[in-house]
Amino acid sequence: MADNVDEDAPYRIKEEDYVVLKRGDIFKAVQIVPKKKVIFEKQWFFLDNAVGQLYGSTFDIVPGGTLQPRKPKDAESPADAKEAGTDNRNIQDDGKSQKLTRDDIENFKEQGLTDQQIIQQLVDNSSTFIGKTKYAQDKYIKKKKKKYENIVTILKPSCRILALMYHGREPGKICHLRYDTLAQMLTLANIHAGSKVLVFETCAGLLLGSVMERMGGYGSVIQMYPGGGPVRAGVESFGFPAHFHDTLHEFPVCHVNALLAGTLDTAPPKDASAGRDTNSAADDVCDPEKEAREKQRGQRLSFKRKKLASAAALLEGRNADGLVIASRFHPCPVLMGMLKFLAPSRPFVVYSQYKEPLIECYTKLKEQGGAVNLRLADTWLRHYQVLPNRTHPVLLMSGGGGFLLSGTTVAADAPKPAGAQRAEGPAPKRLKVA
Amino acid sequence: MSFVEYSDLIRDGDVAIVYLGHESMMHVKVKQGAQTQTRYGVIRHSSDLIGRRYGSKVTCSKGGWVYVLHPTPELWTVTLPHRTQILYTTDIATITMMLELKPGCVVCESGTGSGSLSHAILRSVAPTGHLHTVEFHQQRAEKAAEEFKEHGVDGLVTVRNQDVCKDGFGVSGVADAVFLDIPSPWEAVRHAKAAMKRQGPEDVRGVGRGGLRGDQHPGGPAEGPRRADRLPAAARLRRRPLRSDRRRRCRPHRDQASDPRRLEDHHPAQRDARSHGVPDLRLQTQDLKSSGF
Repeated sequence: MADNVDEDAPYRIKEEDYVVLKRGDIFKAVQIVPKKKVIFEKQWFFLDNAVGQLYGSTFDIVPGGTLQPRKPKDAESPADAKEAGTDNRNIQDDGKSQKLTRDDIENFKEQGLTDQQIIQQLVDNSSTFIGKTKYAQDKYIKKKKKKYENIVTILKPSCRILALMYHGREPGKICHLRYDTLAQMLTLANIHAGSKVLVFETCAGLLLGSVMERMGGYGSVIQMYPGGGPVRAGVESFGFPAHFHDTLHEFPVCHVNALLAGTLDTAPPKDASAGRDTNSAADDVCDPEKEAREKQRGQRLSFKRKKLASAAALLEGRNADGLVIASRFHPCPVLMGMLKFLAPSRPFVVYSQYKEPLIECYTKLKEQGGAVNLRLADTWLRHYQVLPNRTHPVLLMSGGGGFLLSGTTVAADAPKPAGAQRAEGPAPKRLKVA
Repeated sequence: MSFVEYSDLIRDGDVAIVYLGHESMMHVKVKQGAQTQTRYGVIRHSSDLIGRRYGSKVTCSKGGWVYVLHPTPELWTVTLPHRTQILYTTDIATITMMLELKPGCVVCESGTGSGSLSHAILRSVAPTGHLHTVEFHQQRAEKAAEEFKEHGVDGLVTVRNQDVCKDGFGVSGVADAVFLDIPSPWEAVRHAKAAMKRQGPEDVRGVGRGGLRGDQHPGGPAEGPRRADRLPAAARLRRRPLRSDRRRRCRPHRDQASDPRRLEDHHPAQRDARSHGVPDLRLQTQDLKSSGF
């Protein structure tokens, strides 16, 4: 028995874990904090009872806001396999088929009937239920369940689940990156353990987290960021172990040109410390607090400088193994700059919500050379409803998933070899001397 | 060289990808003293390949040039010798994400076929994961095992020559993910369940996950290489050896945007999948370059 519990331990929910709540197709990423109220789908509850359960378990939300594990065995739905009609010719839609009133249902809720029981009551008091076809009855019950069932499933976060969540909840935050397009990016860029990947994204950290997940803590990821500091909110939701963050570096895009030119200065400035010394000599009598603050600030700055230097050292070798770009900024200048950090024969992928910026990038790359296998593509995603006798496509999502430009770097062109003459025109005519 | 790790220089025994032009690549087994014929001339391995950097331009005997690229599962997918119909990168990418593959995962797969998906899985689960792949055709199973060895990944994979519907995957309670691409996948479902971990992988959900892909109607034609007329156009093109192309066509200069070969530019990633029990993703790609850009 004790062994059993130990084996399961990695699959059990723990406090402080980052998890994803799921009901139907709605997801939400939260952290398990004891005695903290969580709101999800218009319901408030505490996650305390989830600790110790297996990931993937489903819970009932009982009135009061606590979670109760739900027995998986009660799968039989109310009014199963009873009478059913053949078609809807006699079914009038006059709003009078349900005999229970709203007050009655409120009473049931107050009395504490379970959702199964409430649905059973609704079915029993519906005059048209028996006349519906079996499929219509299933649909009716499904609709009621959606309204009255208070369940939530707790999942372990992963790239797939978080991509589904972001795309469903806040596509604007991730530049409308659809999850299958994200999948294409990760594969086309050959993200795997042990490589050195450059990432430039403004997708709330979703792309960065997905890249880190695929690398499993091996290798290194350098995040290039616009502006003052890297945005990594999404990376937290993945719940990576601490050592994954050791592989993550960051480098500001504003310094890329300096680094390429070799003029980036990461040494600590000399005069600042000199200034501090003279200051402290004069003021040390009256302001020990100020001194401490200054010292802290100095430490923070030198810490930042060290990180900048370490990232610059990783980049300077110009031997990165992959480049992934997905941002709301125009990709052209970013791409052209960052390609220089890639070794030859390495893949790169650029995502954009619209294809025009990628067309520009494509043209520039063709002109400049240094990349082969350039491909500008988008993918379509179609969901299917899969039920016996009722399997069919649900809807077509088209043009909403963004576009990808992918290619492979090659060694920069040496002066044109002799072989090129083959296709040049005839040799220019010699001018006749008059 | 390894399909799961990058290296810088080409060495004897490597498999390299020779890039000849847009959508025209071939794989080459680098061997001291060997030669490879291309439409631009001869590539002599000893002088032109061994010791050169991956990604360099290699000049061939007739004066033309090619690029030599480091092999990746994506490049392998478009250059591998087909023994069966294969999965292309678009579907492979979605499968990899939906099965939540990452380093350390243990994956069970059947049928191995030509190994296109297998290489991609190996890349995703390396260096600590493992792939158990089952192929019921003996020669294909042997060829797959041979290729894995050549590509430096045989420590990460176990090929079994058995019928997954009867004998299962050969392991039980270890898989984080199971993938089925066989004529009757429902017959293997109970074996898939047996192979899966009881609680799911150490860092994912409660139940091991499975992807089913059924490409045939129940009772459809027997497994085996598809008839040529059902192959996507690009695959058909690849089956012709490049040597005969040289005699038949007079190639324009490669840098021109238009290229008569690219008229049949349907992307092979269009799959006609009719599967049961799993949400199906139909994927199409539009190649903007084909519009003569």
